[in-house]
Order: sequence, then structure tokens, then C-alpha cells
Amino acid sequence: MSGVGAAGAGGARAGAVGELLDVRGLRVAFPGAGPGGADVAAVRGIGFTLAAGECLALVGESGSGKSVTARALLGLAGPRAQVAAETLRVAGRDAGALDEPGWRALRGREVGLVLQDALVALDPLRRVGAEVAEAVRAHSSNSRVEADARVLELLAAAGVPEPELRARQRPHELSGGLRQRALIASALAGAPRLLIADEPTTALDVTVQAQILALLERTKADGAGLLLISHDLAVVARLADRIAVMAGGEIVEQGSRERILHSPAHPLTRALLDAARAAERPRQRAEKPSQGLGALEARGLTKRFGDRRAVDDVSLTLARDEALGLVGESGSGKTTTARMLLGLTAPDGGEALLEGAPWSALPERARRARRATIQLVAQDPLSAFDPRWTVERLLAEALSIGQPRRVRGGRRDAIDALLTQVRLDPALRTRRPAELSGGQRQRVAIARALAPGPRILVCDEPVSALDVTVQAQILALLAELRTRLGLSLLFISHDLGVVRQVSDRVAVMRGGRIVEQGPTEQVFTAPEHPYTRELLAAMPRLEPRPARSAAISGPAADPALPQEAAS
Amino acid sequence: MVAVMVGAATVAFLALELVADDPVRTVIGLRPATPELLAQVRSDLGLDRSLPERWLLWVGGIAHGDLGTSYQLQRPVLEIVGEQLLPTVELALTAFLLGAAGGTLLALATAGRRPRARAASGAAELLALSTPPFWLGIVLLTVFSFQLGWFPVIGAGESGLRALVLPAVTLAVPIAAMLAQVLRDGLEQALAQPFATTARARGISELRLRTHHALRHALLAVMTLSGWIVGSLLGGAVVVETVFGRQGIGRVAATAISSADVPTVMGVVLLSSFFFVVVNALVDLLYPLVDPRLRGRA
Amino acid sequence: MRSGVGLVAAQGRRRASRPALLAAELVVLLIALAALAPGLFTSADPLATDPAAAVLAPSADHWLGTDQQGRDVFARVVHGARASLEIGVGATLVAVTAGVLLGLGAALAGRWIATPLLRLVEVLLAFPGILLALLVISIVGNGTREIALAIAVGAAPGYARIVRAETLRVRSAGFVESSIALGVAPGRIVGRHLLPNVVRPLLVLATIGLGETILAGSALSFLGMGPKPPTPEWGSAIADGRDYLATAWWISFAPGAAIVATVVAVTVVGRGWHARLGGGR
Repeated sequence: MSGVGAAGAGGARAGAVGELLDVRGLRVAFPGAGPGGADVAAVRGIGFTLAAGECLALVGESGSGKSVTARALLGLAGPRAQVAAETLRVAGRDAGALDEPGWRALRGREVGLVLQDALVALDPLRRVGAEVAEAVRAHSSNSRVEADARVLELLAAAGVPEPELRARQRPHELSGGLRQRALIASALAGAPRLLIADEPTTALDVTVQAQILALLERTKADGAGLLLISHDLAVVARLADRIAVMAGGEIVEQGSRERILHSPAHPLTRALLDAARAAERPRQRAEKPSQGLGALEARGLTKRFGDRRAVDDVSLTLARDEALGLVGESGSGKTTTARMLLGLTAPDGGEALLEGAPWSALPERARRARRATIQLVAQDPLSAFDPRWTVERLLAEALSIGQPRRVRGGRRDAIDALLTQVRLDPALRTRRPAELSGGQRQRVAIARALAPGPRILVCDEPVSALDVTVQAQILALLAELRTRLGLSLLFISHDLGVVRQVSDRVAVMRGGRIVEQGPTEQVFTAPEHPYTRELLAAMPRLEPRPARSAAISGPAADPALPQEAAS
Repeated sequence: MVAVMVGAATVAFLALELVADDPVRTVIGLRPATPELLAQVRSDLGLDRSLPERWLLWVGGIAHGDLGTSYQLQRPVLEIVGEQLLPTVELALTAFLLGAAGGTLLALATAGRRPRARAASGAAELLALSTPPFWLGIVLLTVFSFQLGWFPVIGAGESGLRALVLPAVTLAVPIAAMLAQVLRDGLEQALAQPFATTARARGISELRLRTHHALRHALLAVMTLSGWIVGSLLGGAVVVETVFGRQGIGRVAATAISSADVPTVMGVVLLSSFFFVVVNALVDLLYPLVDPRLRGRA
Repeated sequence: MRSGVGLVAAQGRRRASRPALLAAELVVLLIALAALAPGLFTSADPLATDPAAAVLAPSADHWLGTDQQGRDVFARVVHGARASLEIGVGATLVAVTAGVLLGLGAALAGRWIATPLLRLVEVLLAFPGILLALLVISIVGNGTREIALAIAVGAAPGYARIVRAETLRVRSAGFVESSIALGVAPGRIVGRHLLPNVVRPLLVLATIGLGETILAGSALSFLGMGPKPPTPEWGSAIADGRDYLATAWWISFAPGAAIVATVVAVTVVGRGWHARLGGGR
């Protein structure tokens, strides 16, 4: 474990105790970058401090200015950025006065940077070892041999097993967790006193996320200062000593971890807390007993891609008026299962039944007549809409399904009714998808799915691309529509919190199989399968939990490795 | 690759079939067209056999290097083309090296730098790509040969190297312009990627970032240009050799076209497509070396 | 000439500034006018020879001088726009139409049609476009129409490849799948979603490709394969002036400058539209 952090090599600089970061009145603007050549003020006068061995979390939604802040601390906000500050001291130096060579001396040696998704944050054409070695040699006169030895040391310390093998591989040959460890190793190569991590676990599955957070925690324990940036309060809560919540380029609330978690003052902080607690909160509404009547049924569904069984003998039933959650990590086969249930992918084995009648076995021509019954809300509405079409035309197409001739005026009223139903201003009728916000777009997607008058709605990660405050609104809308229209809901997500909020019953998928299914509260409070327990334990929580979760530490438990390496 | 070559030969064969009547007349020339003579010539040209038979003979012949006989010169096409290959290869190779060097330097000097330098370079590249090579050659001839007298007016023969300069520059200009555009775009895209931010955050120099990271990514974009470059060199050779009065297969093709000597044109075209296919195949082999992500996908 | 289309379009990120685009659009408009109504720009007869006024330098009477037969060079440049544009526009139209049909067929038709089409495109792609054009010329002979056809044959495989790739991309796009899930009939999906999304970016690419066909057409005319001699055409006009380079540079220079101006303007307009379409994505 030693050598991971900064303290090991930091002896020579031991005298420089004190604030690692002292920022006051930081402003970052991008002149002429806005619509119509307007200036964009990305960061509007923020201030914070950070000491060695301490962790400050910057939390905010997309566009809040948190990432720009992180880059400005390294002089990497970009050539078009204008950075100004009353005070900008980084690792004891006046960063406001630094020239390019001065910044270079600071980067890597005093401050390390870890970005989201090592698949693109490490050079995809170079070996992992070469990337770490570059960081080693940037600030030392090590010989090549010494540097290579140091690379293996760093990789091992970051929890990469078989470092000799991994150093020779490229990022795409490593699993998501391993390459994120390698990225962290490269950031720690210069033994920096300050580590800035920008969404370091966002691209990762929840079990791997827990391991990476543990690694960062160790860095902090070794004495480095940690600036942790995330959109998810639950992710940072465990590590942070202090939390700053950002919105619109300003820090709207800042305080100790306890203060922010227990007596939040700002409405955004409360919304973020709400979203973070969703997974821990028992379901509000009473669970409906399954009525036995199958709206949608999978019988032994199987799908192979090459040698791999993406979906392996999956059977489940969505009862009428029920909301069934399908949970799993990436590659677990949940989306393929949904596609077979929608009749978009032909199963290699088994069958899907719609309202008790054959469905996947039908030819597409016969299926089309009944497609109005079952509709899809996809994860990324931007790609799910023809980019040239207006909202009006998109909805008109959907309305024409099953009722081809409708009077013109009647159709317009129907479009307005649909938009009102999803709480959108009918004036948005003339907009194109790219001119809508993420939340508006997802509402239009829901409106389009409702247009043919379906009885079943399949939602595939409908909120995972959205900010948490918008997420909450969309989930509330879905719940309301479900009750009002009597819809059966198949809800697919990797996010346990979201699933717990929405579903009456839950099915947990792993490696193409359903490992456990049952009533939501039963699965969340008394999980039976070890994988479900692991998943729940790995879930980031605001409050420390009982010591039961010991299984998650240690790099050896990166279970997705063999499958993922094939990608 | 073999399949594509056989396909190309078949297209050539069908094209020849379309003009099958004309060669008989070309060969007979001014002699009286008696039925005996017609039959004799048809049999000499192999036109009395069935279509599939002729196709087999044609493709088989190509495999052995037999590209047919020139109507005009009554000599094997391969011989004619072989004699003229060297000056064209010399010209094309020189032009390629000039173009590659010029384009790379221009891109490295302007990528992600001052907007004004980029705009000026971009305008110059657009101009270069919009200029017909034959006209550029004429302008160069006017200025450097007629007005300044630095270079000989008529091509090869007298002083090989000096006579090569203007034609090679003419061919190289559009290649340099295209390479500079694509390479600079590739470099700028690579420099905007997250891995470039990570690398900068390590404290390495901007120069090292360009040479050790971005250049390799930009090279991938440049490799897609290989087909365009080969086509531009071979097609350009036709007009440039004509303008500068140089020997070469481009000139052979241009002369053969004006005298409707289809087998000769065909020979040149087939040879170029062979060259084209070989270069593309080599580039395909290079891709996985530059981009390891493509390995094991083939 | 073919692979260039996609490559030049790839430079769309370097979009021209608004005034530059406007200026280019104006130049294109002027050249189109010259092709349709050359009388608007000059009253001189491009065919009238005058041995007494041969090889005159530019002057007030003859803005761009006269050629070896005493014909007004400016008039020949203005009137030459028609033949040069006919070749360029005609070749592009034929190439795009053939490319769309071949590309759609290779992407959407059943295996028995798609596979041979795909092979045909691959084989044609094995010839550098300009050489394929030369081959066609050697078979069909000289002339405006013949040149346009020859260039179209050289350019069509490139368009076919782009259309096929775009069709496959759009077909697997989320919005096509959404329409399937919605229950929209396949005919409507192809007509309302697939075709417009494939063809619209292609039309913009064809604008950029037009510059390349004009260049190729002028090269073939220069080699003496264009319209019959007295007809004014830029490429053959350059060839006419070749023998007078030392004494009368303007005979070759003026039509060359016209080609460059046309191709630059067309390319800037094409790139501008490409950028406006959001890089064609």
C-alpha cells in the first residue's frame, strides 16, 4: 500500500505544510463561445481551500462549472478561456503568475489529474506502461530501466494484478476498473501532493466503482489532498471531509460533510440528497399483488452473439398494471432481453408472449399490427428521433399508427393533448430534437410512446443520461402516467436507487441470467443471491454502513474482467 | 485483392468487347476489306472464339503479363508500357516525397496555433486544390522557364534533374495541400481528446504531446488518403507529362486515346489499377500497426 | 477525383466565415449567369476571328487581350462557362444518380442483388477515377457529353460507397429502430426517414464534388477530348494558348483563373452548407 500516495516521496518538500489550494474569487469565461457569439461565464467568482490529507468534494449538475474549475487549477482550461482570480494558490505557488514552463513544473509533480473513463483518458494507441512511464520520466532523470521498474511498482500499488502483463497492453484490452486504476497510477507517478479526480468512477459499474473509491481513499490516507468532482453526492459522501455544491458557475453551498448531509440549506443540495437517498428509502406506495395475468412474458429467452450467450434462458412475467424493474451491470444482457421482448431482436431460443399470445414467433408483418400495444422509451432520445423532424411531426407519425386517417384539426388537438399530458408547453411543437433540453426531449419521447395508446411501456435506462433533479421529475411523471393510464411498466436500469423508486418487483441480471427476482422491498432488504448482496453493498451511500461490506475491497474482486476484456 | 484484380480485368475485357468491330478496321487500315482478309484479321485478333473462351484467354494472358497488342503500333502493350515506366515512376516518387514533406511541415507548423496563420494556410490549400495541375504547370513554365530561364523548357533528356523540378512541383502541390488539411485536422482533433488533457496534466511539453501522442492519431486520418494520392499521381502524370513534354506512361495513354488505341489505354489503366490495389492492400496491412485497437478484429 | 469528395467534406470543421461564404455564393451566381446568358457580360462574339487583331495584349478594347486568331479572350472566357459547367453539372448529376441507385441497392436489396452490386462498386473503385474516365473516352470518343459521361463513370463508385455506408449507418440509427418499435411500415421508414437522411448530406457533398468534376472536365478538354474546336471551353482555351506562353501569357492565364475562381467558389459554398448541416451527421 505504501507508495500509492504522495507522502512516500514527499520528504524533501515536508517544509511546505499548509494549504494545498487557496482559491478566492476564481472566474473563468469563454468569450464568444455562447449562442450568437455571446460570452459564457463558466465560473463566476468561487472560493475554497484544501489542506493535505483532506478531501473536498465539488458536486453539481452538468454545466455547473465544476470541471472547468478543475482544469483551471492546472492551467488547462484551454486557449480560449479567460481565467482571473483574487487569489489562486496551488501547492504553495501563486498560480496566477505562472507561465507555461511554470505550469509544467506544477503539473504531475505537485498536482495529478484523473479524468472519467480511462478508455479515452489514456492514449488508446499506446501501451498502458508507456503512459505511466511518461508520467514517471516527466519529472525525474530516471533511466529507462529505473522508470520501467517504477511503472510496475506504481501499477501494483494501484491494485493492478500482473503489472508486467498489463503494462504491455493497451487501454482497450483492460477492463474498465483496471484501466481506471492504471490512469490513477499514472496520475500518482510524480508523487503529487494534490490529486484532482473529475468524475473518476462515472463510467464504471457499481461494484467496480466501490473499489476505485477505496483506492482514492487510500491515497488520501497517505497524506495527499484530494479534490473530488462528481454529479453524484452519494459517490463523494464517503470520502469527502467538506462538500461544495455548485450551480450556474457559483458555489451555492459549502460546508463540512456532516453539515451538508444533515442540514442542507440550498434547495439543490436537498434535491441531490434526495436522489442519493432514493436507493436507501423504502418504497412509498403499497405494492400491488401480482394479478396473475401476464401482460408480457419471457419463456426461456436465449440470445448468442458469436460464442457468447448474451442472454441465457431468461424467464420472467410482467403482470398487468405492474412495474417490473430489471437491474444489472453493463453487459448483463438486460438491453438484449428488452429488445427481444419488443420484437426488435429475434431470440435464438425461447419465446416472448404479448398478452398471452405469440409475439416473438410472429413474422414482423403480423407483429406490426399489434405494436401499438407495447411501446419503448429509450435511453438516448436524441438518437431516437429523426434529427430533421419537428416535435409536431414526430408525434403526428406516432399518432397515425393504427388510425391512419384523422382530421387535420383533430390531430393538432391530439398533439397538444399529448404534450400537456407529459407537462410540456404545446408551444414546443415547432422545435427540433436538438433544440430541446435533455429533460424536455425525454418527455417528448414519452409522449411519442403514449401516442398509439399502449398498454405496456418498456423503459430502457430512461433517466440515466439526465441530471438528478431532472431524473426525479421524469420518474414522477412516469409514476403518475402509470396510475392514470393503467400501464404495465418494464423498467430497465443499472441504477438501484431508481429501480427501487419505480418498481413493484425486481429481477436482477448477471452474465445473461436472472439470478434473483421478487418483490422490491424483499430483494432490497433481504437479498438471497450473493451477487445481489454484493451489488447492494457496493452501492454508494451517504451514511456509513455496518461492516458487512468487507467483500468489496481488494483488486482481486474485479469480477467483470474476463468478459469485459473481450470487448 | 486477387478477386478485385480479376474483376478489373473483366471490366476491361467487356470494354474491349464493346469496341470489337473497330480494331478490325484499325488493323486493316486502307487495304480493301475482302471477306478473306476480314476473317484472317478476326482470327488473328482471336475474335472468332466464343465469349467465355476469349475471357479466359484474356484473364489468363494478363496473369502472364500479356496485356494485348497495340492497334496503333502493332507491338505488345506490356513492352510499350515497360519502356515508359521509369520516367513516370521517377516523376511520381519525387512528387510524392515533395508533397509529403511540404504537407507535414505545414500541418505541424499551423495545427492549433494562431488563428491567422491557420486561416492563411487554409486559403492557400484551398487555392492549390482548386487549381488544375496542367494550368499550374503552364504558369510555372511561363514564369520560371520563359521569363526567368531557370529551368529547361522541354522535359527529360538534356539535364535530368533540373528538368524534373517543375513537373514534380506541379504534381506535388495538390498533394501537399490535401495532406496539410487532413493532417492538421487530425492533429487538432487528437489534441482536443481527453488523453491529451491527461498527458498535459503530467507536465510534458507541448512538442512531446504532438510528436508522441497526436501525430500517430493524425497518421490514421492521413492513411485514408493513400488511394487519393495514388490516383492523383497517376491521373496527374497524364496531363503533366503532356504539358512538360516528358516521356512516360501518362503521355503514352494520352496519345493512345487520341488515336482510339483501346488496348494501350487499357494496359495503362490496368497497370495503374494494379498499382492502386497493391498500395491500398499495403495500407490495410499498416492500419493495425498504427492502431492496435484494430488487431484481432480482422 | 472520387475519394476526394468525402475527404474535402471532412474539412467541414474549418468553416468559412459568413462574408466569405456570401462572396462565394455571389461568384457561383455570376458564373451560372454567364453560362445561361453570356450576353449580359459581353457583347463581343467569342467566335469572330480577326487576323489583324491577333495576339493583342489586354487593353480597353479587349479587357483580357485577344488570342492567336484575334478572338476576344474575355468573351471566350464568359462564353466558355457554359460548356465547362455543362460538363461539371452533367457529370455530377449522372454520378450522384448512379451512385444513389448503386449504393441503395448494395445496402438494402436482397442478397442476390446486393452482393453483385457491391462487388461491381469494389471493382470500379480499384481504378483511379481519372483513368477510368480516360478509358471511357477512348471507347465513346470526344465531346462535351462524352466527357461528362466519362467523368460520371469515374465518380459514381465513390458516391455509391458513401451512399451505402450512410444507408447502413442510418438504418442502424436509433430513430429508425424507434420507428420500427412504433409500428411504422417499412416503406414509410425508407421514404420518410432513410432516404432524406442519406440524400440530403449527399447533395451537399455533391456540391463539393462539383468542383472536382469541373477540374477533371477541364483536364480532359485540355488534352483535346472536349467539345469541337471553335466552341469556347476553358480547358481547351488553355491548350490553345500553350504555344504562345513566351509572348502572350494572357491567352492561357485568363481561362485558368476562371477555373480556379469557379472551383474555389463552389468548394467554399459546399463546405459552408456542409457546416450548416452540422457536419453532415
